[in-house]
Amino acid sequence: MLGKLIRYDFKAVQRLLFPVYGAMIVLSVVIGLTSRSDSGSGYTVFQISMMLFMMIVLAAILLTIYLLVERFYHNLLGNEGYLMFALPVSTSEHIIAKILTALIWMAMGCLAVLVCGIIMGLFSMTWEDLMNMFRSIGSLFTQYQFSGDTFTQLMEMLLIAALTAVSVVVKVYASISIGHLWSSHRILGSVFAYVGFTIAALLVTTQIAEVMKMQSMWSIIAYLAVWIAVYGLITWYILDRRLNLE
Amino acid sequence: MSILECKDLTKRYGSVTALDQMNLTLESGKIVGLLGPNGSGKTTLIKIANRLLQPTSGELLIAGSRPNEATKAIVSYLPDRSYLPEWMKVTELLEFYQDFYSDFDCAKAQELLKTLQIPDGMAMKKLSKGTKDKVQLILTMSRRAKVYLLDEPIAGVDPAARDYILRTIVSNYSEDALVLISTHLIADVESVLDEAVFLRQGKVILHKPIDTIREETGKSVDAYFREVFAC
Repeated sequence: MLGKLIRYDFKAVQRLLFPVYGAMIVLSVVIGLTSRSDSGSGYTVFQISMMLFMMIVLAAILLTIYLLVERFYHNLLGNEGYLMFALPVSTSEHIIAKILTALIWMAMGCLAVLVCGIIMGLFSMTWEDLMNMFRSIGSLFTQYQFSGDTFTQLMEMLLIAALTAVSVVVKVYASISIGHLWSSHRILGSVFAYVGFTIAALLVTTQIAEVMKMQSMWSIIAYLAVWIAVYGLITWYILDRRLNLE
Repeated sequence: MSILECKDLTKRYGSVTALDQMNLTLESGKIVGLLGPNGSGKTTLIKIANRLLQPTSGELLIAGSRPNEATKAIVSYLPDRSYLPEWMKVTELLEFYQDFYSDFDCAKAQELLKTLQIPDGMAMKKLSKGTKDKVQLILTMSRRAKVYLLDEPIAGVDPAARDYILRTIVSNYSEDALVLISTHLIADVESVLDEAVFLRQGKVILHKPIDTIREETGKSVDAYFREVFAC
């Protein structure tokens, strides 16, 4: 059931974000092709498309954030909640599906920007540049030995980045859920809850930082995991026990 | 065998009591009208049965258990509002129902859509309110459920469509299922009901077979309802 929930959530977001990614990729090609012209109309096209690209990336970031909040709010706590909560699916599955979808879309956004960067590079380079690049990548692999430690560190960094993203997402979900306890002014309630959480987290963090010193990667990971659990439990309790759809 | 049972079921919203120690037992194989004026607790009862609300005290049992994932799998619920995602096409909704409900009969849904000439390639947001209501009803009635909970299924549609909707309900529910129809438009539904439950201020004040009501009072259920709930 979890896979199905994610699939439908993905579909709902994909129809809005894929066109934006498409525009980013088209602009990357234009930027790549015009990047070597230093005067005339080519340069103007380059400047305009570069500016457009920046604007679209910013729009994509804002749209992703908006959609992640909107999906939780409308799909679970709006009218669509009557459909979703009537499904033979547990509340925790609903929440986990929403978190994973959010994580997937944040990763997709990063991937889209990465792909655009590669496209710009490929289209701006001459054949010679390209061959040189492959040669230097090849020599990088032969000269530099990737040790197990480097790999572990990389994985830890990725894990921390993912957990940080999840903790922010669940914090937003917990805030929206608390706002849902109000009978009116639910959005205002959510904003207050978010500010409250931020202040509480700040207070706790300053206390803990003294003790833990935040030295090892694993203490950071454990710290993030605890926050995710706290926000997740608040969200679960409200959606499971205190649900009151309009 | 009782498929839906309320024991001292109470729901309070702050100081407002929506359901007041309600006791009710409903059997399979019946079409039951849940009748009462606005604010009598009809929607609250149906929401508790779908676990969209938790009771303040007492309990509601479906096939012997409190509402959970297993009971949701045998309950087909029609909410009193537009609840389907607006961006989805009718065909996508059919897939959605088929994915999540193992008792969904897709062929039957397609047949009903065809009879009503509803274009299934259209997104919900492009359909009129009345057509949306019909799509919702078709999806709900195309499940082979044990319990159908229909909250105001005819309130938003014109009288001609009402007849069609009632015919759809009567001719499509599984024979051994319970159909609970909440409404205040009694004259329209009276002809299809087996039993009537009158609800006032969160309490059941009458629960009898339709024929018994007619025999005892010498009136139609609609006329009797107007008498009981006269302001």
